[in-house]
Amino acid sequence: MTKRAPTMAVAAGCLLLACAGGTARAAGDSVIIGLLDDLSGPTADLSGKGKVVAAQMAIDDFGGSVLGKPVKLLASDHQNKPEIASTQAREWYDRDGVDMITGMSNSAVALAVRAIARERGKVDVIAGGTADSLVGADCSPTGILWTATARAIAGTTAAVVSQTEKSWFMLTVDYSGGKSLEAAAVEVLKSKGATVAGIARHPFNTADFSSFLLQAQSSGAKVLALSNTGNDTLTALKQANEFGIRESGMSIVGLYFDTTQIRALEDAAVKGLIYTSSFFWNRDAQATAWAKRFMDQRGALPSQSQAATYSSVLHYLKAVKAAGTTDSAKVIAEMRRIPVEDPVTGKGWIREDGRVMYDMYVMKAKPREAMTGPLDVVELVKTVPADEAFGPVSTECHLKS
Amino acid sequence: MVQLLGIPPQALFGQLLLGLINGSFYALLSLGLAVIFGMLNVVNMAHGALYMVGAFLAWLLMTHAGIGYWPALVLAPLMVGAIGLLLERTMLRRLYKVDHLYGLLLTFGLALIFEGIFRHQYGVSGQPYPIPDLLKGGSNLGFMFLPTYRGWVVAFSLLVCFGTWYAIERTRLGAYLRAATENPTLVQAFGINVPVMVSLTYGFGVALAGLAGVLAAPIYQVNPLMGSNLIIVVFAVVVIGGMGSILGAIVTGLGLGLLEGLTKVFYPEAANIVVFVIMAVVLMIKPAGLFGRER
Repeated sequence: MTKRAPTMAVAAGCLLLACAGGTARAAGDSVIIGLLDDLSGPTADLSGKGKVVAAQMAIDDFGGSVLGKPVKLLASDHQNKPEIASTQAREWYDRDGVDMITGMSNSAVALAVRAIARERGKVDVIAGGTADSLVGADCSPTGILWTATARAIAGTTAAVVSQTEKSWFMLTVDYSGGKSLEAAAVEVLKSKGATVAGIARHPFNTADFSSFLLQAQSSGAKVLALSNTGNDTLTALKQANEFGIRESGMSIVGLYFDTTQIRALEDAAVKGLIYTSSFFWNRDAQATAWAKRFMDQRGALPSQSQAATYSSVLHYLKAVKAAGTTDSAKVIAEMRRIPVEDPVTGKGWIREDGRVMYDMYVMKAKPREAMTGPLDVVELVKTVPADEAFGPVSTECHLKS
Repeated sequence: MVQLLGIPPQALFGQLLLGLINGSFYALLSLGLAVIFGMLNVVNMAHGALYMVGAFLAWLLMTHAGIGYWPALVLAPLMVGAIGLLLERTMLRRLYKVDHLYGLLLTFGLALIFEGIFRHQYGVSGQPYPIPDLLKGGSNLGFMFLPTYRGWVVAFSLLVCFGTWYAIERTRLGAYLRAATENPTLVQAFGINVPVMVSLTYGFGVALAGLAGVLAAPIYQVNPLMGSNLIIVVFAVVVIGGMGSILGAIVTGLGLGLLEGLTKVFYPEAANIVVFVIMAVVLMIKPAGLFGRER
């Protein structure tokens, strides 16, 4: 039997190699876009796999080539580990001639890659990470942040809902991401004269929320705000339904929720949920057509960060064409100069701190009987203009360009 | 308001009841592990994955065949049991004669494969599974709101746990089974087909995991990783109760659930580690576990 152990080790080794493969040597005569994202981990559905589709769609829509060179897409799995992402980003920029890196779900990864890109004067367009410091202390002359920050998402929801509901209970996942969502919402609530009746912090990946929900219920608050993400949000919603949170007169808001998650829950658990998104596929006919096209290719609806990836790649290629070169400084200057306009983002612009400015949408999940098709899952509560949603440029952002 | 050690009784009773609910999941899962370890000497690392498979089967039956919760409660465990039989017959059986570690490695590998397949096929976001109509809603107990479904989980899993305990410790079939683990050759000499009995035991053990999966589907998100989140705690429960002790698994499962609930009242930050602290203490004082016997 001991003979079998080496065989198993070899088999396991092969598996690991198969997962790590997938990057190709670059040719000097093409424009190369690197997509660094979670392709296999807990956020792969909401980000990585669909971003590969979205980025390729943008390249195809642009015509597949720019400045007479073909546009190539490389995709790599960062496994949610900043050190893996850093190594890959260095290889891409230094060896493989990658011109721009996008994706980067997970703020720790985004910050790591941002540092490397800034050091080399290379372009990074983040369509994933949501840390506020990406347009604050960690802003970069060659860096752009396409996704909305935690502050913009949570703050917008809090601002809109607190107009009517003044007493809140925060259910927060106990790590920096959750706490920054909570802080952003609490700051807005205080300025609007609303009160926080209680805060419960739960560990990441909690299976049972019942005791926290019990606390929320007995706090007497009118709004339960979920400052968590992914599966934690879904489980909390499911169990909130079970414990009759809505029946006891509370409404629920998701401070970080994606429209594509609605179908992962049964109707009773999710209907009426209020949250903010940067992408609303029913905004106009073009956005709807794009979402349908994405769905045909991917077999699932696009999340907001996948939509952002499409926009970021398309806008980058437009800027390369306008600049007539892939030189980072010139391309970035063009990216800031030409307005953003595509089916996903609608109309927008890029501010001097690298913040992409676009309208944000406060949405409410529809009850299932009111849905007419796969794309009809939410109603729009309010469109919040870009300036209001993103606020002024951070005083911590110092660009030496 | 009357207070108990500075804690309002509402919070205390509420958390204790929630602890009991979690405890009944621990009991059901650790029971399957204990049966498999006690009878087969296999440390079944695939238990969590099969619990996940049970939940997924319930979801698949519902979405693709329109079969609801109640039939799934019977069908899904049977199917998981059949998977278990297949695994035992084709793979696990070859490892009985060697060290426990090989069984552990094999089942761990199987767990990764199961999770990988479901993750690849259905992604990581999870699938919705509604509470059956009959068990919707809840009742206000004065100190807390008890969802009917959770009450059902406690009652049903207690029934299954004690049924299993009775079958193994108090019936003739159980006696054969226990005898077969003590001395398989001798029992076979009496004309009892020991290999078949062992296969069926493994099938039954994992069917319990599948059953827990179906019970969990309406409460937790049906997700490829739901098993690996739970399996470590369940192993701790089995170790504390005594590897292979049926009664130990049941009593410890419920007890630790309650204890976790209590910890949430007095010192919430420790709720996640209290089980492991107890495991460490028990291992130091009574290495065979609370109900285990030294071998």
